[in-house]
Amino acid sequence: MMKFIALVKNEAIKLLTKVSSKIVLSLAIVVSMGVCLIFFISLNMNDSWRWGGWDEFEWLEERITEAQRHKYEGWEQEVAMLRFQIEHRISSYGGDWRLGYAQMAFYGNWVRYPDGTRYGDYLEVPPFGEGFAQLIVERNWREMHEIIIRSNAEALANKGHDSEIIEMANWQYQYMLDNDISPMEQTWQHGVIHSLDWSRYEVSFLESVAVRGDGADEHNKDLQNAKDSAAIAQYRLDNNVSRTVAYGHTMSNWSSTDDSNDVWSLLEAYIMLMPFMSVFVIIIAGGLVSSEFSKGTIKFLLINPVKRWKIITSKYAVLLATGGVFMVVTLISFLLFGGILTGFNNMSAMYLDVVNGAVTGTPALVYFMGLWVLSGINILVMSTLAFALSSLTRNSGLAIAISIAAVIGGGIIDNILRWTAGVDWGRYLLFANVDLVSVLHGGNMATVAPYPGQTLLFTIGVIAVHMVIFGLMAWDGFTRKEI
Amino acid sequence: MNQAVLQIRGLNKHFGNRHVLKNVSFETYAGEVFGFLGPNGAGKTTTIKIAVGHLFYDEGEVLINGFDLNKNFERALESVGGIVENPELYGHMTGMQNLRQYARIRGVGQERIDEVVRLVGMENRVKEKLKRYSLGMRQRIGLAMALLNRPKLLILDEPTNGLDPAGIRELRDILKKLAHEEKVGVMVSSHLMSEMELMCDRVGIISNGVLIDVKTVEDLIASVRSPFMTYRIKTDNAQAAMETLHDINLTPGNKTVVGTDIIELKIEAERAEEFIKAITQRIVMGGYVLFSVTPVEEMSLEDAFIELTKKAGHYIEGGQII
Repeated sequence: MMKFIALVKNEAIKLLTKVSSKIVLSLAIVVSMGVCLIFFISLNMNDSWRWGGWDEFEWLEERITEAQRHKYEGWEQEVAMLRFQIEHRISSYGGDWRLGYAQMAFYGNWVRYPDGTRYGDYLEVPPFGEGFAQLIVERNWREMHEIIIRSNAEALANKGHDSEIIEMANWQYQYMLDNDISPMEQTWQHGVIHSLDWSRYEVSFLESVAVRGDGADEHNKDLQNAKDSAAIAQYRLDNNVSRTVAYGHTMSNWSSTDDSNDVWSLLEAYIMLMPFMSVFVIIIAGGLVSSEFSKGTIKFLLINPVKRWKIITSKYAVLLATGGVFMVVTLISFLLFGGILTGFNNMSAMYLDVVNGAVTGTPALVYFMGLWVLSGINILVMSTLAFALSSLTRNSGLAIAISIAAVIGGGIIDNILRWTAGVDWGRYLLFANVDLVSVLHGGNMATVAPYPGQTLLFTIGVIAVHMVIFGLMAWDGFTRKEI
Repeated sequence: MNQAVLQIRGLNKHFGNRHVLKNVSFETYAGEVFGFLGPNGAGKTTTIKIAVGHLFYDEGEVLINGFDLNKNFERALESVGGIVENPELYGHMTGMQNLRQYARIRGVGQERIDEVVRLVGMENRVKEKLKRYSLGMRQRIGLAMALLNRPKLLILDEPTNGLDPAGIRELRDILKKLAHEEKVGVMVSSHLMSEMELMCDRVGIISNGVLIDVKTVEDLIASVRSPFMTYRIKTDNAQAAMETLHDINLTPGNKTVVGTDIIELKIEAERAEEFIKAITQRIVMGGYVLFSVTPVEEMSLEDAFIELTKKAGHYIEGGQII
């Protein structure tokens, strides 16, 4: 055991004294901070759409000309709307609070009603007109909400809907009035009210439909999800939880409110890109064994009274530690840099989940650390592949190139198998299983979407099989071949 | 006889179809410098690599300090120190850091490191990065590493490579001292016979994967040396002086006159002293001037060695293994 500790210490010193490993580590820090900056800039680029010389309002003018020339159905309303937008500089992209109300003024309102016959039925309420538009300009949102509530109620009552449906259709407008939540301020409540409104509608609709047979499970799952969303939204409103995080939703309402302008939005994007951070550990892993051969130092290393498997194991132990150090160091620099960029706000943000019917909160940092550790599995597997190839081929370049190709091309191979070739056995390959976060939470721009019915247990099994194969490759290459 | 620190018995090794070691058996004892002599590609390095566990063997037995290399690898290698081929060390680390790497595994303290650094005369340069070292300096650090664990068997593969003449002499002295005073078994490989002659007590000659012979250096030199020695006598009148020697019978040697003032004599090596005495007396008594008597080396050690290894090759080609 003492000998093994000495071996690990030796390997660590060898790695630490190398200039190249310091360069790779610095590069990883720079890249993680660069990623942070790029996300920060791109996610903040919502105020004006003057990208690459494109001016939104000039484009709206063109649309007016177009409408006047072709005179298609409803062109007058559109021209009025566009004029209003141009006059008051209401962008269609920045999440301007006036946009939705302006649409009601010129195009009318569509009221959802869960009558249990068809999903997504809407009742059309006619445009509220110039007077309503004037209220928008005057920022008299209370008056506006009262008009909306009145018109909705009238239209639904005319169609024979009962008071329960009318209450549900008007709930959000009423809630804002009752609680003095102004739509102009774009507070977090606004978003939560919208989401609660939608979830209530969904619950009510799904409960009104009875599904039997094959679709029942799916239906019950949808219903449960809708109920959970409603419970969480209600909990937030009741307990004043201004910021929540959840994978895939953390930065979703960035554009509509400043509340998500924090490090958590950046961190979510970072976790999506973590598979690519494995490249840095792969570069280290690919050289760990093969550099001893290319430099000839293996001869002095293996003249020691130590069995070869102990040496390869000590090297792997150092690789694991290196991977951990890379993950921690890049994460800390990302968090610090992201924190500085966003001003360390919303540090007390929570991840909310419904457990046994009760809403429970987890601090955002703890929640993301969980995802971060899961993403680390990807780095672990890919750097183990590089290590195994390094041992087997004794060629750093080859080991690094193949492993990086696997990181980048894995998704492509999976896509080809799944969509082009139309086969299902791609689910047994590493590429479809290596990203545990995507298996749990669905795919994202950087990873492979899970296969239908792919469970966490299955994924862990596939990873374990691959790790054993890589281990055998490394062991065989190092202990059974001559020098 | 001292204890055998390396015993190799019936060693066979193939590289693919090539039979590179053919039934090689020899022993190296504590307290001697054993030279492993052979031309390039004869199997020296292969044998050494097998002895330190770098290569695996097909048949045979390797015992180091009594422990079987295959059955008790770690115990066997505990008493070994060595350099295989060139001393390749970590260039990005200092000499001292390299030594510490080795010392950590072997459980050797700083005191011993300093001691071996002094022994190889590197105390002034040991804090420099290894990539700045010359080959000679790397040899010295390599030797220091090989000696760190006070090995019972020290294996050095062509250790004089890259050393300057002073360094070679130093190395020779160190190795002799280790063997004769500290009773280390030293095994040195080389393709230079002259080097072996100065350094070794016993020599094993290998050629084409066959161990031809194991002998003491004296026996080896005697065996390759011709039974006749040639002497050149310089005098003032060679022709006339030759006349005075007419009744000295050197058979089966001979006498010839070379030029006007040189007589060349081929004398049986064992009786050379007795003949030279008689011949010089005759020349001087005859009234001629005797300027000098110079022995001429008939066959150099190198030639003899080449001869020897060629012979082995011939035998093998004939399908006969010695």
